[in-house]
Amino acid sequence: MATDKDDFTAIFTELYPGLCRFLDCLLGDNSAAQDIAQESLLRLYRYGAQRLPRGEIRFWVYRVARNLAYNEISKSSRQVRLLERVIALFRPQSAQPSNPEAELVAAEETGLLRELLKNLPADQRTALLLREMEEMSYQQIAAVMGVSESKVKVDIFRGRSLLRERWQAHKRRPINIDQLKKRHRG
Amino acid sequence: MNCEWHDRVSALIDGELSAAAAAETRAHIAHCPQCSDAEREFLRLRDEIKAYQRDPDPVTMKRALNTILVSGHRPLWRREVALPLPAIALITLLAFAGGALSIRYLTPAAPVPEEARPAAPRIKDAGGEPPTELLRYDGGARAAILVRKRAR
Repeated sequence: MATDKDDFTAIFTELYPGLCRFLDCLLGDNSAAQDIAQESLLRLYRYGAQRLPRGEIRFWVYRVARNLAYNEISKSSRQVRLLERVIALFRPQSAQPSNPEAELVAAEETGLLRELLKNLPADQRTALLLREMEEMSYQQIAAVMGVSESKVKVDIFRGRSLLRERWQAHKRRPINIDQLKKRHRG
Repeated sequence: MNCEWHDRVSALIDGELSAAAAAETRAHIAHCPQCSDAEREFLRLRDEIKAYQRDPDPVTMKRALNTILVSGHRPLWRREVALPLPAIALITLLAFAGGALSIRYLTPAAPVPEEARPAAPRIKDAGGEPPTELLRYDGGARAAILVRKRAR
């Protein structure tokens, strides 16, 4: 039973961007994120969104997306090139940046954060991203992931602690601006 | 070494503690530099994650929506049908039962061997009437065919 087109367009517009962001951080791959986001919403369309209570639609879609993403994670193990990510993420904030070196460092840090996130165990990463990006409660995250609330609480805490440790370890290493500039030029 | 209250600090910033537990945790944070650092850094990581804004461009979004709307409709024979397990079990059982009954009633009965057939019944002469002979019968299973001989 397909969903009504107008209804679905509204649901798609609401969910697709957030789903792409979540999956992009979860997988570290923007292209795969868009594919899985599209597939998840296609399944909702075919299932029939009118069969679900309005408040449940978002969690249903995220549950499907998370399962598809886990399949993707277990199928492939890619090497993420930090440089490509930094270049893709680096965007000048204004026409003439006042501090290009700080911009390079900021871009490096954003790419680094994604890299650090990607190195977390999948459950910790998923729980943390659903909490921070989607602002879901522990109960909602537990429903999406199909686990208990206490596991969600532990996963989020451990994910945060691990991320914090690695972030601090990176901060203690001085960033060589000249090396960064060389990398971005070449 | 981390303070053992760090997990409660994590739950506090998520708003997942009861009012009493939250008050207790805040009182602890006020006196514990480790937990105060942890709270600050957990919140900073939250800001960093939220600051990641990589929304799909409008063209990609429109293309994805059109793909779904076009490919979302499938002909009846290509649709997936979800059945509960008891229904599948019942259908399987009925299929087996139907198959067994079909085999039982459609298969022709095996011919009875000559020696196993009962002896032909003797029919007494009805007095004045020409004798009637049982000429042929089919093993006593269903019918006896009687032929009245013509009187000469």
